[in-house]
Amino acid sequence: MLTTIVLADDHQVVLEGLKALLAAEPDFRLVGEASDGLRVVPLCVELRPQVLVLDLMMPGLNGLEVTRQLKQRLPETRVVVLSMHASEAYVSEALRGGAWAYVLKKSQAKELVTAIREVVAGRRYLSPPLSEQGIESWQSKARAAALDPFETLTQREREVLQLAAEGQTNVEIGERLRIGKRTVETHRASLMRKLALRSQADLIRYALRRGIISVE
Amino acid sequence: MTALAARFQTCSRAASVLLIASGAVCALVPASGMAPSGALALALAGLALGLASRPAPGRLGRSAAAVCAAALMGAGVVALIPHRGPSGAFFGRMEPDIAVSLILAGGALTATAAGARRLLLSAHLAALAALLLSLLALSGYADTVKGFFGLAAYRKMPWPAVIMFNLLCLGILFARPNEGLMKHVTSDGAGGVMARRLLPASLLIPLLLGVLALQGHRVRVFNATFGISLLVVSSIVMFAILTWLTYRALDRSDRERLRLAAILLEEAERRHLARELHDEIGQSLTALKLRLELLARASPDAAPVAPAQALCDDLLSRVQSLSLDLRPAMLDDLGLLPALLWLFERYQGQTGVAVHFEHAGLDRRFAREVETAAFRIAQEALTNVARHAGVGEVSVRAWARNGTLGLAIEDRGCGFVPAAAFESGASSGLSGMRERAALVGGQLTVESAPGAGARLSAEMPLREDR
Repeated sequence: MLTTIVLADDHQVVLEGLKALLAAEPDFRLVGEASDGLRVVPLCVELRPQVLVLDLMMPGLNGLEVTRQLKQRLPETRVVVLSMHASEAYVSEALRGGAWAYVLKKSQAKELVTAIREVVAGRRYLSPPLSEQGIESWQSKARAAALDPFETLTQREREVLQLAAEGQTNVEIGERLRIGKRTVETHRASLMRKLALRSQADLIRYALRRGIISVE
Repeated sequence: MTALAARFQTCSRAASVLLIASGAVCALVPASGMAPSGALALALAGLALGLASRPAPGRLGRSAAAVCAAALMGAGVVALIPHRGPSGAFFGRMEPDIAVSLILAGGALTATAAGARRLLLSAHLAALAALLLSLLALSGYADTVKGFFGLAAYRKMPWPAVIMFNLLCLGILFARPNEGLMKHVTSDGAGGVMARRLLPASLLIPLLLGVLALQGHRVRVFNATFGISLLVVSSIVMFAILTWLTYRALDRSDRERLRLAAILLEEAERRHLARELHDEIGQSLTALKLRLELLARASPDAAPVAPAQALCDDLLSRVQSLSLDLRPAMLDDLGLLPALLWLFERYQGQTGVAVHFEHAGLDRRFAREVETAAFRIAQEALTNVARHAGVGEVSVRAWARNGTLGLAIEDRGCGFVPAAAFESGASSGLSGMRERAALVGGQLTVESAPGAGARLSAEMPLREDR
């Protein structure tokens, strides 16, 4: 059975090379090509290819966006992303957008052929050294952690927090830390904002809860 | 509105309160020497000023202020008509120059209160003219000066009136600090800095010197000729000093600006080169690689092509790594978080220092300048840790919260004296990081002491998001 393919790459030289490569496979049929990101989606909608080989970064509309749009409008076309970027960030973004395969441009050309055959068979494909585990580990790193607001305080703000919780006035704190009263006020306002505290009572409650001060 | 402009407006409101209070007092206390009508008129002007200088005046307040101010102007016009104005103890008699000042100030206040943007330039000019007239009265207060217009014998304007008038004119100028003439004074540029430095001095110094010279002459410490030469010489000295101080301030801000411009220019250059290397040269090499592979496949003996292929692969990875060194494409394509994750992975591989990274709120795009600043600060800070701290791990925290993008890099290494590190210049890169933060209106905090590790944090305001 013939596999119909559309090629999209904004670099003419690369496009020519890819055409020559795909032409060598008897069961592949190149039905269309585009070198402008904005042209790709309409072309695919018109030609309904099985596979779109897509450069990740194209002028007009970049490959990530093309992938996203195509997933919505033409889910049966499987996107093989071809990219210079070996970073998991791009791979993860492309897969999230709906790509089936991610092939590095610096890998062997026959990998593209393998990737096309894999996605037609309904399997994902990633160019080595990329791997599903690598992507997963990257994604888990990219997930936000519960960042403790206390960690966003500077050391100075922590000192001011403690002295303020002990009931010292701005002037007293300034004398202790050998800084001006105005500076103390700035630090105090900043730490209150960061910790989302509204009053002195809030501040004391927070300090007690965190064990910064204790009830004697 | 900038903090500076807000401060100007606060001054204006303070002037209005003072005017209302002192106007009321002067109207009641005959010793003030002011006719009650005049004192009340100035209190009315204060009220109009107070209404006009609120940050967001409502329509009602605006019209009320405009009516008060127009009434003030009307009083001036009536007073100019000889012997037609009302008279008596309550009304007193208004001198023509005061009447003219009143018309000018009233007109300026009306335009300001009405919020007529196009009229504000003229309004400010009128207020300035009124200010000059009342300054004339103020400097003349030291001695009797012939009537300004020669229309009438000069009667000394009572000193509370002179002061209140000065206050009123300044208040009018400060009420809308971002428009008209005043926008030049409050501007962020070097011109604004100069205006703010020079204008108060050029108003006050001659005034002060003039009063001193007149007084000196009056009590006969010296004669008029000596008084004038003293005035001239001290003016020269004062203005020379002022010019020197202004020169220094401008020169400093100019150098600062140049440094910041250099950072921006370098970043733009880097972005351009990185793109060019990656997109153009990288793509050509990719095409070359494809061709070589096809050639190897087509020819019966692939061995002669193999070295060319290896060379091509090598070139391709070198071009890519050079491009990443200049500026990682993901910073522009995908944003700060992916770029930071990439940076930490590469850093860990290159230096062996483990990065513990925690972040919150970073899964979005920020303004490009902010992303660049945060990325470069993290990069530089990590380089410092690897170079100087002598530790195997570093913790990085990044957060976007309450309109602020924060970044903190903390290590438990050998530490340093921050002030000394800033002075050592390029080697630590601390000043560079501080400038990066300053470029986006943020600030860098460095906390460290020998033996106590180091915590470097940057906080940058998030204005408009992408």
